[in-house]
Parts: sequence; C-alpha cells; structure tokens
Amino acid sequence: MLINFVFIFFSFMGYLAGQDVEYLQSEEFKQINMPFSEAVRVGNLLFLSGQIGDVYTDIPGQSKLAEGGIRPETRQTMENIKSVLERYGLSLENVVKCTCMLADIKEWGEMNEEYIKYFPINKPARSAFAGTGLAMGARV
Amino acid sequence: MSEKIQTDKAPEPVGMYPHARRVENLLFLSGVGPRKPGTKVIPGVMVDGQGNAVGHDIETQCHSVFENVRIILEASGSSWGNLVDVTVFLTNMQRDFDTYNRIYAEYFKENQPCRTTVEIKSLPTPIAIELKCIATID
Repeated sequence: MLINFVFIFFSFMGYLAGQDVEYLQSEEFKQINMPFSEAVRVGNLLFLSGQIGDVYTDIPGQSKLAEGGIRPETRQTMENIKSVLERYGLSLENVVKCTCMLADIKEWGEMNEEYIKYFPINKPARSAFAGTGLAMGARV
Repeated sequence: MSEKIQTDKAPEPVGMYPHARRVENLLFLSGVGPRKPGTKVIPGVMVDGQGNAVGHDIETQCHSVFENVRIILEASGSSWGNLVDVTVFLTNMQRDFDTYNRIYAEYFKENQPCRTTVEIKSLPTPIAIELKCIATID
C-alpha cells in the first residue's frame, strides 16, 4: 500500500525524452484512497511508490499482509512491484534502482535471498536499511 | 552534466550538500526539514526549561516542511506541481501518520507524485519529518 521498495526504472536508454509526465493509478489502487500515485512516468523513466507485501481482500479498498513474515512478505512485495511494472508495459528486467526498507536489519539475509530470485540476470543498484516502523506493521 | 542549486530562502543545509541538483530535466532535492529559513528555529518543537526538545506539533511541522520544499523547487526553476517522487521520513509513524497524511492530501489535490513513507529513530536535528524529493523542470 505505501511503504517500502522504491524502484526507479527505465525502459530503454538513460536519456530523458522530453517533458511528458504521466501520473498513474489503476482502478484498484484508487480504491485505497491514498494521496499519491502508484507510479509516475517521466519520459522513459518510471518511478514507483513504496510497496509492501500486501494482497487485496474481498472488501474493496482493503488489503492484508501476506502471512508468515519476512520471506512471504518479500515475495509478495516483489509480485506487487512486478504487477505495477507490467501494468505500464515494463518488467523486472527494466529495474535500475531499488531502496529496500526493513522493519529489522536482522532480516536482511532472508529478504536478500528472496529478492535475488527476482533478478537472475541484471542486478539493479540497491540500498537497504532498517527503519523503526512501516505501514500496516510490514516487515519490508 | 549537473548543476548545483543553493538558495538563501531555504533552511541552510546541516552539512556539505546543496539544496538541489539538476540533471537535464530532472531535479533531485536533498533531504529537507521544517526549520525556518535563515534561523535555527524549528516550528512546532516544544522545548523544556533547558532548551531540550520534548515534543512536537506535527501539523505545524508539515506545513513548514512543505513550504521549504516549495521554496527550493521554485528557486530551481521547478514548482510544486512538478514533483514526481517523494520519500517521507517520520520519527513517530503511529502518532503522526494520520495527521501528516491528511495535510499531505491537501497539498496534492491534483497531481499526485509517487510516495514512500518510513519511520526512523531520529533525524539530525530535533525535527519530526523530513522529505526527499524528485521533480521535473519544464
């Protein structure tokens, strides 16, 4: 819903083409009624809002965290990122930069083991750190 | 390749870094808090008799930090409506998130940049909110 992995993507080359900016919100995302976009495209760069490992429930506008802690939450976060990318014509192969925010740095190793499964070839630049609180009590 | 931007109208940085840096049509802002430009005063901070920070008013700090971001954007040839990505650091998510989120929504009725909010233990001065932003320049 709002916190964690911040990804910046570009679709082809590092050159920014023009000034065209698109604020992107899917119908599902609009229902959570948050004051931000799920992604913003600037030329050939796509910026994503923070993602946590949540899944939508049957109640419109409500979601819950994947159960089981850091590993399932990391996998779900990556799936959520993948969905946003695919909605706007990109894939995980287009990711160039990630910021990973954890609830506890002791879970860095487990997060990392799940994370790398999603980037078998090109590894995006990355920073990871632990804060003291994430939305919905998420681990990542 | 990139142009450094400093302005007297925004709070002085607390270290050796510029207010912003421009790369082509993208503007990257350094982290900025609610401190009043040209002073050491942090609006919304409550202090005890010894001058130690003992609490804060998040509403005042939100308005102040958004104003500082706007000043830097405008000094850089950008504007509030050009923001594309905002990272927000709060020192007390549980207590402040709802108030911050409500005020934030008032400032972003039209264009809504990407946003990421995280709680951290402390910030370099006794502030309760800091923003790190990316914007475009037309």
